[in-house]
Amino acid sequence: MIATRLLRVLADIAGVTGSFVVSPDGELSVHAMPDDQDEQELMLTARRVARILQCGAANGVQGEEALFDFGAGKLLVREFIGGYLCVLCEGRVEMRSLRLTARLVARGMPRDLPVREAFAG
Amino acid sequence: MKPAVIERARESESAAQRSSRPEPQTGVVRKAVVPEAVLSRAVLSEEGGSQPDLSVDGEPRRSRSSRIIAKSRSSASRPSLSGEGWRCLDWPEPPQKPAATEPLRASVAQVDMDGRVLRHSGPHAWLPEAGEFVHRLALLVAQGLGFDRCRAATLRGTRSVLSVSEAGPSRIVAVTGPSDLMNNVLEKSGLE
Repeated sequence: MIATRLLRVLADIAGVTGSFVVSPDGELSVHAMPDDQDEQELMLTARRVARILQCGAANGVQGEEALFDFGAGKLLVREFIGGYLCVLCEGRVEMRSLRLTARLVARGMPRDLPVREAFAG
Repeated sequence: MKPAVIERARESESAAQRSSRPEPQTGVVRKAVVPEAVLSRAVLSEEGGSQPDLSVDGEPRRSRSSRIIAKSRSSASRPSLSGEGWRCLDWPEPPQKPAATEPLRASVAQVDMDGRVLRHSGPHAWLPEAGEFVHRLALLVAQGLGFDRCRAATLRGTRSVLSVSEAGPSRIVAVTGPSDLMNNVLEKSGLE
């Protein structure tokens, strides 16, 4: 599937630990997260990420990009026409190349992705 | 008397043209037809009859009739009276009010962990509540991905930015505003 192949491209960047795709409604579509990541927890996280961006949009901040700084790690969220591409990475990641690659990957993502397809990367 | 001759010539010519050519029935525009030949003939005949008179200090001074002719000549050179163009006879639309836009100022809010607003400045009244909501959800996102806390969450929109960050153990700071004013926030977060 093209979405999973695109997520593999992101894994080539140094510091990227995983990625997943969320539909506009907050449903988890595809993921390439580490094996120890609980999938149910990831589905909840996907809904929360979508809700945060919806909160911004409701107040006039149409979020095309978001960054969550967790200290030891970061979550970059990139909006695309079929939802949100989320990239989990270490804190030391080179942001410029990550953002550039995420933009290209998001641009290539199919519009209608099926909900929740696990990928053991 | 002479300007009246010009007016009569115009009226007779335009009436003849109106009757012979089709005309739009909208009632908004009307074709103003004054052939150049008719107008220039009338102007030339008028120019021949008027002479500049001299003032007391010797400076030439044009009479009232010659000023009228000059005005007619300048209006004849306008494209709307050249016999080819349509001109609108209605008043233009009154200028509309500009659409409501985002405030051009940034807002800052400080909220404690219980959601109480400690400080708030700027035009965005929704900022304290939204900042607290974003911080609470971002903390849950962090915990769902195996982290303890979320130091900062930055949303970058097409025109505006929202940033929520921890400021000590018991309070958060939320900032929002147009992208132009938030470059330092974007640089600090890594989104610039």
